[in-house]
Amino acid sequence: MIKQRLLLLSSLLLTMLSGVLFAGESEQSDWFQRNNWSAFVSQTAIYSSDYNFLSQSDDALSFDMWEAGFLFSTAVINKLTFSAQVLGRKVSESNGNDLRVDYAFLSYPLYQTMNDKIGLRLGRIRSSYGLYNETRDIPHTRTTIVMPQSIYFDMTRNSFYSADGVELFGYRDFDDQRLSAQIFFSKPVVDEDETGEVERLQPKNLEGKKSILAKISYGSEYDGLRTSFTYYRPEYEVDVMFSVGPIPIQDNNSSFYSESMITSLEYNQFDWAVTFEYLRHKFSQNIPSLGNVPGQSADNRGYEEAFYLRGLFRFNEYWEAYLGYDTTERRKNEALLNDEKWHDINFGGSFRPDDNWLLRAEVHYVEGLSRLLSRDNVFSEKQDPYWTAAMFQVAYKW
Amino acid sequence: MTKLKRIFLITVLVLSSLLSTASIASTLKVIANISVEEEQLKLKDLRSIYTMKKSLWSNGDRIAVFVLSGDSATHKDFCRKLLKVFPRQLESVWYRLVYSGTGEQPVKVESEQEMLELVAKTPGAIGYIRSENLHDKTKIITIK
Repeated sequence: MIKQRLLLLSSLLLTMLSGVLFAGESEQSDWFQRNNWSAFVSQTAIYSSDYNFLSQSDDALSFDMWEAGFLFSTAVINKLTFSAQVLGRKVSESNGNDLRVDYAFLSYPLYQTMNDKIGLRLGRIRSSYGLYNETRDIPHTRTTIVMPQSIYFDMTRNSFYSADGVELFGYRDFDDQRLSAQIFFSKPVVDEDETGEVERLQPKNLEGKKSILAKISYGSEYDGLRTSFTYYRPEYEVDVMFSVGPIPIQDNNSSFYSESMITSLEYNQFDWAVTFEYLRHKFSQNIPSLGNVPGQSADNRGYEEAFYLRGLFRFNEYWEAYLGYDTTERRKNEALLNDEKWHDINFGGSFRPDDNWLLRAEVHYVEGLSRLLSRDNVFSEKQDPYWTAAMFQVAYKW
Repeated sequence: MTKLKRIFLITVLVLSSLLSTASIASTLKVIANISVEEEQLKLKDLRSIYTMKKSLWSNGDRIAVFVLSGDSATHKDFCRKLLKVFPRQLESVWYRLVYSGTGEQPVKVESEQEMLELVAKTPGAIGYIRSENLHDKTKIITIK
């Protein structure tokens, strides 16, 4: 937490200093050229028939969910650039720390020509899994109000979103198609609030250990096909304290990892687009003390499969409509519990009257509870697994 | 409807669509700073430049990309008729670069006069303008 605050403060300081001290420099200076800033803010109203969905919306209209971001980028000197974003976001009552440095990194091209580039990034960098994780929180860069929860889940968004490390990236352009690859070694940044999602284990002192992300992609973002494949494996160390029947378990040498493989396909035409992403997710925990309990094993693994399919139609430059199906299920031989599945049919529309404003409305019809925030809901098997949510969002960007 | 009438209708529609595209192509011009060595660009290269993917000219100079405001009729025509993309789609591509911290968006100008002046004085600059506003301090890039 102290390190996080220091990083936040130093990034803000660097952002302000560079903006103030160098904004008035003459164009002859090589330092801090091309200073750019952007900002956005959004407010969402959510009503859900049952359960709290990204707000306190259970049978009530909630205005809890908001997002705001400030971004700064500059060419520090020659080809060395710096980018940072501070994001404020609230999707849960239990979020105590809404403000965080999403990313703050230096980037340098090791090799660059008209059609290709190899470069290095260093600092806090976004984990670029799937097609949309890098820009999932900015209303103007996503299609829907709520990202498909099967793959871009909000339960542990902060702990999986960005990490401190080094990324090697490269691309080659073939006309307007781009082949790109990146590999990112890091130490995950953990959000203590999100440990509530594994309440059964009552975890304490969650700490990121190491993480690797590798991604390859090809295609065009706006014309024809684009595809990508991502492998992402963050590992964590955690102290746990829970009970197995009458036996209390306390273990300060526990660990877990999450391993995701995401295959993404998107086809874009002038007035329509179809997106499909498939996730195979393995999660594994190691609690050495459990090995001493009869009938228990120190290693426990789980698997889930998830995908979403979404169609988007652009009526004109102002209006868009979309329809999606978003699903995830645990892989097991027994019948699934309600909190082990998620089937979400959703549809909505966007209106962008100008460059800055964005209005969006969306409806979800859901079976299952597996992507609801445990820290905002109390679950039992007697509850109705079928529920609906309607939401409306207003966003503005500078 | 008789077969002859259908053929006539389709011919008229195809011709009018071709004529309107040709008319847009003749009024919109892609312009560049005199320092730019390229005389012509493939449409795919122009798209790569305006989606901010291509950042260097063939001689290694940095490309400075200028655009008109999203509400300008010239910008809408440039996007829809020349790049074959909605202005909002293009903006989404820029925002994804900007908000991931991995790229920049083009420099926005308020008028075609400002576009001409900035392209004329910025090395490596590229922009677009309606042909009636042209002057000799910039060069025209032919789009293949």
